[in-house]
Amino acid sequence: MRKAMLVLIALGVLAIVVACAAPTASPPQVVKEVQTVIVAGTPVEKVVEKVITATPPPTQPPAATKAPQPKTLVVCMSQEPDTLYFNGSNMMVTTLTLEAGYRDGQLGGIDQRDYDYQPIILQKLPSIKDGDAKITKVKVKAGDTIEKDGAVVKADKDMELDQISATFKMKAGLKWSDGTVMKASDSVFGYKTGLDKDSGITTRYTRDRTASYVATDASTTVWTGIPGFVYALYNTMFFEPLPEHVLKDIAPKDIKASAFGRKPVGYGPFRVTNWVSGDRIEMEKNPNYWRASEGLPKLDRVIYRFIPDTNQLTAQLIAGQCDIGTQDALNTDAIPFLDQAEKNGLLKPYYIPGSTWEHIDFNTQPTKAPKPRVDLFSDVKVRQAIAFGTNRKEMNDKILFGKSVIMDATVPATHWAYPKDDSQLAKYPYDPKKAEALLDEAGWVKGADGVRAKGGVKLSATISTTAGNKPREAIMQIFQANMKAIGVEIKLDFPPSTVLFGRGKDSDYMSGNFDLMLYAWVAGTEPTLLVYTCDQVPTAALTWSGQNNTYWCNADFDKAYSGFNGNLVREDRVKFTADAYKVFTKELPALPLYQRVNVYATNPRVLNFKPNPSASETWNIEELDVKQ
Amino acid sequence: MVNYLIRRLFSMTIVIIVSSFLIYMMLNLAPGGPLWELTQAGSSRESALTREDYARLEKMLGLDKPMHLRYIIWLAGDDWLDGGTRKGVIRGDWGESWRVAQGMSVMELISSRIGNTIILSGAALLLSLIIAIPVGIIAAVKQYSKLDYALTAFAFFGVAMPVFWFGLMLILVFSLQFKAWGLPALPPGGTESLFGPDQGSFLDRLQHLIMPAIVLSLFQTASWSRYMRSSMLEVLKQDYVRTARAKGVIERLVITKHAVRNALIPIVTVIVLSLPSLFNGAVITETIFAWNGMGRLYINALTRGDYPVLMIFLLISAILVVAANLLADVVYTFIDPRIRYS
Amino acid sequence: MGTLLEVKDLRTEFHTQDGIVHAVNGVSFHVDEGETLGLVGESGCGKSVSMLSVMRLIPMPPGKIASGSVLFQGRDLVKVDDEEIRSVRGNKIAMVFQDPMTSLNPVLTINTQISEALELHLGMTKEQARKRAVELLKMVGIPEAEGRIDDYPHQFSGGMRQRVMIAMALSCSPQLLIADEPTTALDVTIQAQITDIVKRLKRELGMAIIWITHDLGVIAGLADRINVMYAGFVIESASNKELFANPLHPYTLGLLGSIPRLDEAHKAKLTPIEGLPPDLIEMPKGCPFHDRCAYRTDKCANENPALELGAVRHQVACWNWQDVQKLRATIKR
Repeated sequence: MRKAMLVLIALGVLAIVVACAAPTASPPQVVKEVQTVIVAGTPVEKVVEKVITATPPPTQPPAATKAPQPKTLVVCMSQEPDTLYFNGSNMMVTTLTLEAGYRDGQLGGIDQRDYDYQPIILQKLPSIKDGDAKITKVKVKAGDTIEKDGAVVKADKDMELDQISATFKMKAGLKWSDGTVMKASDSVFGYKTGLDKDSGITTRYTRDRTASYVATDASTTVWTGIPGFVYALYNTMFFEPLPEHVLKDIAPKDIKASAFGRKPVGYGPFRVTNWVSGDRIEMEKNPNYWRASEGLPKLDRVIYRFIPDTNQLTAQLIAGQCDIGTQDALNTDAIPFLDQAEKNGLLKPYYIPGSTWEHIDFNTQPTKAPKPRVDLFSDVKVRQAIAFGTNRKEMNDKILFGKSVIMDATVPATHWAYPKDDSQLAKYPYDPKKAEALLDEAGWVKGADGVRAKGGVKLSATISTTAGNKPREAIMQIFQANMKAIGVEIKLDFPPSTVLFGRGKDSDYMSGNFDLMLYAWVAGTEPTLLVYTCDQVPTAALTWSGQNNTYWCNADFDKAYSGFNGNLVREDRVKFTADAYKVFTKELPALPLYQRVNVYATNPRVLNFKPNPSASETWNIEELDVKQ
Repeated sequence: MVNYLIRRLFSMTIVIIVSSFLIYMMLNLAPGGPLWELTQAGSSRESALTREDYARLEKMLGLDKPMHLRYIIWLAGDDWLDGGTRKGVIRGDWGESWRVAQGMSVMELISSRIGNTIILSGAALLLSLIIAIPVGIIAAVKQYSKLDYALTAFAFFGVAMPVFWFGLMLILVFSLQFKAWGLPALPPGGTESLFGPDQGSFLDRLQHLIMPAIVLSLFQTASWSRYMRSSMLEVLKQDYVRTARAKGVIERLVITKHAVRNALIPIVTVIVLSLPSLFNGAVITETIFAWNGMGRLYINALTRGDYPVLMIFLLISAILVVAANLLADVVYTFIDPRIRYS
Repeated sequence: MGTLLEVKDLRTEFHTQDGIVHAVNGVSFHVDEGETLGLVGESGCGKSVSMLSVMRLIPMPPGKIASGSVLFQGRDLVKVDDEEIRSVRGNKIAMVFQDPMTSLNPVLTINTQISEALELHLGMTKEQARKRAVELLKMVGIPEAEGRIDDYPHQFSGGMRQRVMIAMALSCSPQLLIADEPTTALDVTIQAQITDIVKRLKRELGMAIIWITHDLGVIAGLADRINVMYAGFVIESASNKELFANPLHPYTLGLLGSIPRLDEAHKAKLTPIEGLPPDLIEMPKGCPFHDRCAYRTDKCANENPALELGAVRHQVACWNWQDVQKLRATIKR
């Protein structure tokens, strides 16, 4: 807490200094020149004299005017990628870096913006409507591999099932950065590499459900799923290509440790020239980039730097040593400071309500846990009352400086899966009176101490969240005060995330030992629905590995979900999500709070920076440019 | 002395093996671990790790074996077991990083950081020595003078000042504010410039070193100067200092020849015991100034459950701590003739 | 024989947080050339401080020589500059301290420590100084001096270290040797050896000695003249024989009563002086000893007696010394 205070004060002072500095602040282009002057001198004190009394050294101006400096962009992020071999890393910064130094697009040449997919190196995404993807009925013999109820199993009898196949056509002119032409077989090679048990790939969900993936010509692949695998994302089943000509003699488990792991031959706009472990990755323009004829990429060099400290990163931004501060390196604490710095023309901040959303889970079956708890929230009225009594706007205003939006369902309102007509959804605007009425109705009566009770049981719950997360601490405090106002006592609990989310035989919280839990899910292209289905309710038999931490199980919701999941047509799927959200918002197993705000900042000289909530901030790295 | 050293080296070896075993156990028993972040991925079916996935990854890292066996493999390798290729730490096989830099050998990973760490910690150590010893002597000789009070105030400032705050203030003033005023400013962080004519030159690196070295040395300087002061005061009270004065020795020699040598004896312990920091680095300072050193590597490996990196780091740290203790004892015999080991 | 050192009205104070400690309160005495002066008194009576003041070795601050003069060879050592007092220290006036275990620098060899003064005051080269140091060690009776010259202090026993201290003090042939309880920290047999060495060297070298002790027994065999100090005052001064034969101050009498005597070991009990010396911060107005004095009168509490002649070459500071003398005479009988 003391540390937090000091950081705040530090930011305050920083802001004041920036404010004071405003009138004298140099235009951003001058930044580099000042820098070179400093670098020219030896001890700093001596340089002071030089700058004030002497004219600049005569060697500098000609050097500056001669050849134009290569256009360099410095992207600063808080972490270092663990590898640039995409199989086996799940770090956000790896994805970010790979988009420049390996591939074009977020995954396998397909981008993911605005919660939807866009083809990058493919001519188009296949669709059943267009005929380049199709569902066929196939006969399955007993013992064949099929998908049933979400699991890959052997068929127990002969039957007829749906099978999807999709055809992917690559664009012309694709080349690896070493100049070799990229072929469809490289994608197949990528698929096969991931099949190896030691490939290090984290999850084999799609590979396990692939019946075949083949190249039919130099630029075409065809994916066929296993029978029964009705998969809405069939149109993304183009596997990330790997350069077969480079890797064919390396065992999959050795790729990571080979040169490829840190200097991959890719097809992105840049290629890695130097990786200073722990400090930075330097990349240069890829001359073989397939869009080189369009003058892309616009930059000559990109440097990804790893700066774990937010203050340092901000200072580097202001000092002109960083051009882009990524979302993992900046947080909402810095908003007032960034706004101030923007006023003074020092940098440009961006606030985008992101794909991560915070929510409070209710434990709806607390009595069934191995360590049973008092039942407080199995009654829907109580859950609704809590929702009405929670001032989510206050949370947004106080914690996120009003930069975010309140959520009603489990996807942002801009998501395609959010019902066009949301009047069917139950909504919970802040209304403490209604909350109290609902609690009275549910039989929880206010006692002398202001806390409600029913049958001798106090309405006193513990809310648990991960330790060391400041915004969540702030949410908890507001929530606690909100609840006190309606007669609900809330105790705060901050276990480390490894304890809170620890699954396995010895699960504590995850086996149902909690009342309320505050954490976040990340919204993908597919809406977050699965985690509220019955078959995701954790059980002892599956060592508490299910993801439905609310222990809420509702047949109507499950029906809507399976309708959604088994359907491949977007227009029809939206109807099912509307059904699902109708049930969800009324039953409210979890209370969505708000979308987290992604904070980015750039030096004002950066051009074309267009962050997107569901894509990485440098998704258009080839189009980014700097003013010179 | 030789006998003594042999005995000490023997007991050191045992201490190190026992501590490495305990460290290994504690790391492995702590919640989290190398696969932790993978289990946290996502709410969708595609990104969620299944139990089969988990088991496959565990096997790949060798985490499926019982813990004591894992320790033995780590220590002595498994090439004498079925199908193993590991040689083990005692035969120089430090293994590969699991998380921080997947597939990179731990040796390579550590050597990429150790240079920066030695530069920063060494500079801070030197700075501390150069400042703390004279400051301590002067403060003691001029006890209760205004100078002494000023130096005492400095020492309290240095001890009480939180590193991250002090570092931030330096960045604020000497990087940002100086630049705003049009004065030559110091770079806010990093070990060298990324571009410009002087990139990576000695001067460039020196400029990057100044602030972190000052910040890192501040606490050490302050506390060592206090040690030195009190040690010096203690010595100045000694009879032999009076004897020296009674011989008519000039005051400067009384201080330098008679007092300082004795006063340094306890300080040398403190200094020698701080030597492992040349390897360990300084987490906070390195973080604040984006200094690419061992401290950051350690924290990174710790939070991500990169056991191979952690184990080597902690093992070397343990060896250095034990070795520094031995070194301190050996150095004693050189500076204090009263001490002899047998 | 001429006067070597003349101390007049020396006052030394220590400024502490509790107040001013009056350690030495107007002490006057002299030492003739070649004479041995004994300085006797309890711990804290100012005998060491007065001698350290002569050498200007009291730590300043907190110590301060408030007034007085120390005349040595025509110079007032209180007033000369630092350079000059250093040329006297260890050269003309040398000092041997009480505890040989702590008075030698543990990290320097004996050679370094002895040679230092020789190089400094006599301008000897390292080789010359080393040779002389060996001679000095032989002189004080250290066996195999050549082999031990490069040893460190901890390699010597207590008695041997005190010999080294004496050798060091005598290295520049001083005219005055101040021995500050040099035998107190040593075994009885060693004490005698050290005393004998000093006696012998005095005969050989002919320097004057001021021997500080709290033990009248030690001084009896050594001193020509004895000054008794109490609470920062010299209260009695007489020749050796006279003092033991005819003590005039009740305190001296008390001191004598508390010496264990071999010849009457079982006849008389030791009679300690009751009470404690006065608080040196708040000195009593009258005689500093009056609280503990069996002969006190009202006057004693109000006025402090000055030294006055009580017998031939015998001064005493007591209002009632005549009564003491009479009474003692009756007891003896």
